[in-house]
Amino acid sequence: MNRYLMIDFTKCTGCGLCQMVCAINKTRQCDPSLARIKIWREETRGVFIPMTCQQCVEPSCASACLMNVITKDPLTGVTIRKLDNCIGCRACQMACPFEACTYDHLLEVVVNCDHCGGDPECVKICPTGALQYLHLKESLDCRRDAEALRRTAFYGEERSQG
Amino acid sequence: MRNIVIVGNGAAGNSAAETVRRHNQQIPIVMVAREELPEYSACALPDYLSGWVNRKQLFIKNEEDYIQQNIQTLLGREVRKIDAEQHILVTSREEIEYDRLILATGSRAVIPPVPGCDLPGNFVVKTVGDIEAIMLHQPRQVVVVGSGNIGIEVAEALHLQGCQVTVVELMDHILPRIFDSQPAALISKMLTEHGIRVLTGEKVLAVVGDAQVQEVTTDQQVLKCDTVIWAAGVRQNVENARAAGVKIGELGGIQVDSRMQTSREGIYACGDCIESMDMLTGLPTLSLLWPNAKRQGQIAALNCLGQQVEYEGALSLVVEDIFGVTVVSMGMTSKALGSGDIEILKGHSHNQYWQVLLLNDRIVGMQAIGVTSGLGAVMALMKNRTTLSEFHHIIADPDLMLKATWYLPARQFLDNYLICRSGE
Amino acid sequence: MNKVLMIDYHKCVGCKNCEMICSLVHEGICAPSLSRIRVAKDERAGWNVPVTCAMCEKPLCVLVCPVGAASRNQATGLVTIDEQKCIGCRQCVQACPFSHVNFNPARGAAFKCDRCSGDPQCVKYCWTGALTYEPMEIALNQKRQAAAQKIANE
Repeated sequence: MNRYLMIDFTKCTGCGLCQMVCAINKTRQCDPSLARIKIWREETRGVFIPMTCQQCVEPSCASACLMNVITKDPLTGVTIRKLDNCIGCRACQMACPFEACTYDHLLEVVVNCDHCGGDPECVKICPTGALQYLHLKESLDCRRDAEALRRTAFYGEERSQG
Repeated sequence: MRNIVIVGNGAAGNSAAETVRRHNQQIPIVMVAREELPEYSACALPDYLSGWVNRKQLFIKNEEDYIQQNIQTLLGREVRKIDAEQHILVTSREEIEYDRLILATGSRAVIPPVPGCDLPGNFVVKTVGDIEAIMLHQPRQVVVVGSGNIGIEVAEALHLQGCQVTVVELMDHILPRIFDSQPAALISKMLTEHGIRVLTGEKVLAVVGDAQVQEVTTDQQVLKCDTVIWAAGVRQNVENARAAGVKIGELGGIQVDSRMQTSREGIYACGDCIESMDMLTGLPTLSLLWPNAKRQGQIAALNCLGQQVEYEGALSLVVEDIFGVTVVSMGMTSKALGSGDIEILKGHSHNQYWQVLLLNDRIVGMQAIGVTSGLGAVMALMKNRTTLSEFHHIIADPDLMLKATWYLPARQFLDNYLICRSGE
Repeated sequence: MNKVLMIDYHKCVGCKNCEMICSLVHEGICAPSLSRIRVAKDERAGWNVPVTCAMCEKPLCVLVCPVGAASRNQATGLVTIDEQKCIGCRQCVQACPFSHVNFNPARGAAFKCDRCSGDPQCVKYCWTGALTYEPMEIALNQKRQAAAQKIANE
């Protein structure tokens, strides 16, 4: 069962630590533009949206890739790239709706989040818990229970302590 | 089912083969192809010419991959005849009985029949062999006829190799099917600033030379050169299909329904050789692009296997690198849309151009120079047929925006309009 | 007249017949995790709340889909996800305000309630009457009557 990088956008403060730790971990450069996770900021409304690879099952990037470099790892479900064959055309970057692909301007290839092999650094450093690494089922069940609670609360139903 | 026979070793053919294998490990797959090489990316050929990639990097597959995927390959074959009644494919070496036939025969470059077009020094750009022939010829002064994708990429590649390059285009602006006139003019300027000569609205009348190419005569001047690269269009490889009674469309490609099925039972087709359907307008179109070929191959294979899958239609996505600047075109151009209720939003600053085409408040086309973010999000709006008013409604509400996260990059792209306008 | 699926959770005893029949009809096996309708419970507090698709007029799942796989039929009001177009990005799963839309990793596609194309089976198999499928006017009228009755009895 695969885990996904789940983002609670209401908790993101835009601190940028995820970007920094990702870039340093992956490239040894203190350069947020090389991070595989990027924060889209709207300072005026206090909206901060970290965006990263959604690990789509049939990724738009893979369809657009002119060298068929992009595949899915059968075990983990992560979107992986054979970087040796990447010619840096950036077609995948243009095709991704989530701005997930990062152009590494030093290596001149395009990269994406790979969950750091199963222990994502950004999740560990996120100070607010906006980033989590969860099974989809866990997350969905929690949210559905919260929704049920919201409906029952309207009628002043009891809620157990457990 | 006895077997699936695929004609063609390109993007569509391989996508079809891989899709079959992903769903079914047993069924025999036979792949018949003209070239003796494993799958390579034709899109990367100009990069091979420029030296950006080496020969090995061109190849997507090697021989072991076909064996591992259990795909039987019959390379170096020409198809002589398709017997649609008896379900037999006749090649230059054998006869193959097929249960399902997938035609992914692609297209070939055309050289208009002008005088001198058969002199040594005339080339097309379609295969690895073509590129190596050009390299062997050691061009110095080159005329590139045609300014589509391929023409422009090849012009840049040869320029990077030190050649003096002139591009001759019949229409009034370069990249006529991909960009509208204003962005095309900006791209043209980038090329000329780097030393490539660009001639538009000019027609090549003849190639002149004794033993080989020495000059090109247009309707306006004479161009001295030792090499002519013909990037003036392609023709679908449909002759065998036509002879077998497969219906060919008005645009010259094999006619298929939304399941990639041709007019003959048991025969499917995909890729460059077909006439597909445009995703946004539903009209027949030739979509000679790599991602569309792959998707069509996938759909053809799934339907061969008995899964009822419909093709959503072809959407154009073209990404070019012009001397380090990314230029992108998605969806339709205003010329393709013709007159009507289209609205064009555009703007440019000193190093960026931005344009969005709207039809009934929906984005149907986008062109950008020097902009690299928000494009995929705009494409998603196109595919989703979201109206701009719906879009703005979501953006205005911060709670809703946190649900539709990719709307933010799309909004930042569309905001470029305001930035670019004020930067003029 | 289009029907709506009404849920009166006060009548739900959490038997999960609906989950059984839904998964059986759609996936061929009784597997609650593959059921479209799901019953959230709190055993101690004693409530059971069935949650399924609200068939929103302005569905968020449709708005957030980057490939147009989710769509709403104007005539019937049904919101559906086309499995063939779905790329498995799960934006719809995250966007649904009721946490209804789910994702099947084995199929690589999102799935949601489709009202069994107009004949919802969960309603048929709900023996307490917690789930009903009727024209909205009738459903609302019944609720109005029940509320009025309650007030009158107090």
